[in-house]
Amino acid sequence: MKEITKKIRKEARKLLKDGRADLVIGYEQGSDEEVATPCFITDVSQVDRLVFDEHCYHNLAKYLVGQEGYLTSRFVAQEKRPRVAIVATPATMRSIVGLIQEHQFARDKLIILGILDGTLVGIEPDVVVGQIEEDQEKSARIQAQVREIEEMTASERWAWWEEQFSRCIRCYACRQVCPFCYCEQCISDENQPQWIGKSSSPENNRTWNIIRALHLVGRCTDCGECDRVCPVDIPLSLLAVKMAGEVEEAFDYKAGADVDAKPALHSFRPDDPDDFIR
Amino acid sequence: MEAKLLQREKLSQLVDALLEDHEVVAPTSDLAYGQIRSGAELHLSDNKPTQSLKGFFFPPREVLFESRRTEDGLELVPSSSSDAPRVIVAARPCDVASLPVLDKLFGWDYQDSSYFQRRQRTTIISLACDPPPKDCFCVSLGGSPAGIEGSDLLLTPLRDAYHVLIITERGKALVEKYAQFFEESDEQHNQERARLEDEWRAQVTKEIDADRLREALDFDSGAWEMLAQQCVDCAICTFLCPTCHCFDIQDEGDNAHAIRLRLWDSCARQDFTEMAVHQPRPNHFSRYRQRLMHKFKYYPENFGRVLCVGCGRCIQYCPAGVDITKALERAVEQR
Repeated sequence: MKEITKKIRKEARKLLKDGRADLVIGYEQGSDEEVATPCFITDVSQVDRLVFDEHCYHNLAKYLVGQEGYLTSRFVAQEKRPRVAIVATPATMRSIVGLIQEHQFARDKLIILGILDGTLVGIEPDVVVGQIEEDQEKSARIQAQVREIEEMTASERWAWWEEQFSRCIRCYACRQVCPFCYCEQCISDENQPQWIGKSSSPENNRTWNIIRALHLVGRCTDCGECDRVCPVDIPLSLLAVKMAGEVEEAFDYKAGADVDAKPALHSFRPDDPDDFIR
Repeated sequence: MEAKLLQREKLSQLVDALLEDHEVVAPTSDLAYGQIRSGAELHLSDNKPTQSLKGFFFPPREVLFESRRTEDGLELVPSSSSDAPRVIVAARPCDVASLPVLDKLFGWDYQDSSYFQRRQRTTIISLACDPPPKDCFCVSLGGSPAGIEGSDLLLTPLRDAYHVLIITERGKALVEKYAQFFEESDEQHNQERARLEDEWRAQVTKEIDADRLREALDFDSGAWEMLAQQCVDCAICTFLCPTCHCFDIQDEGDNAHAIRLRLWDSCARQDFTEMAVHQPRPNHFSRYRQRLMHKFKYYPENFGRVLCVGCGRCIQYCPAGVDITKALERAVEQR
């Protein structure tokens, strides 16, 4: 990890000095050694704040997009937006892949300082700054839980999810950390008409969580951030992994795996075998 | 102050006895306080519940009235709320200390009747934080891991028993009514309680200098944009905060049957106070600034108290790992 930190600082210093980047998004130590926090470096003298360790799991792609994302802000004219370099874990890179596929920004708008772990990242980083180990235990655990839920009867499954969603306090942290929740106005914030009741009630919570899951089908790259941040421990990764499995089975498509691929649910073919779509 | 002793194993028996004529609220998991139906459901843990106590006084979703369409027109049904006596058991001192802070707001330009009805019907038995969790900073804001503000009784875990400090008349009445559970406390117990409190206070090392902030926080500071960078605009900090109290009014339902609700809202949100097609804080940093200025400048100016009790939840649960104590330091240093 120390080597990765060194490499990140070296690359960041070079990019800022040469004027190839105006901003480096990475991580720095938070209030103590067990906390890392996203950091935004614009000045060469600040480069040594950058670190990389096992606490650097936040998906930084989030900061690129949306109303005030560095590459898409509606408050900053296109020509005034910074040239951004980003420290990207494999999860961050897969999100970047999806965002490029969805035309949120072009590949050449971003310098990727990539950290790899042997999993598919679907894009070539500009510089590889390090290698880490894949957390296989975590993905195996989630897969096993998904199978457990699949084995329930429909009514058991419904009851199980109702109980999970009942805890939702509608803080929308799941939405706010998600790079793919970049809509100018979220459906949950609309009130004329009001599609989803705003208050935390069993019906409203169910509607919110199901709509969010469905909006992310074929797009979510399973970075797990929504699951990590949920303050009431709703296991949102289970939905993500289940839906990704469905898409893979139906369309042989894996979100985040290839920046040149056409997203499964964004494309249309005149010779589609199903009638309903024609 | 008068004190008693309560043997550890008698706490759940006391809860069972209280349940005969009270609602009882207590930590039910590491996630939240909840209404319990037996002493055995009491969840005593080193972790403070993720969600604070405020929802039991200022509910996240409160029906104000219902409307029903009938043959004669529209019928409005005011909501009814319980006035059954209630006891909160094993509340964290910081959560309880937030209530006198909230009283000022809910009793400001009018008395919020449902809030004060809940205050009125509730007796609070706090439990000292042994040990104080890592992200707390209550001491610098006048609190303590064994703080008494807002509580009627305070339990402090000694070796085999709880030391029971009797803080209010209401607490005294409860101890007298359930006298069979309590024993006498002697000077040695009282000293042990005081010693433990000192020990725990010393363990709370994070701090906020509220006096300095009230003077130095500056609306026009150039630092806000930089400080807001990490924040993702979610409402975790405001919803878990025991003192944040912003709310929204919404209608739900349809023509036949609708309800008007008061529900929690958050200044961090894009659509907060969006009225008449106008958002007074259109960008992210202005919303971030509002949260900190409100807590440490406007509220103290309006009500003479900081809108924070130092529970540390906003630090512990921030998706981006932001530490409010550090952010505030930077806000006044980098003006």
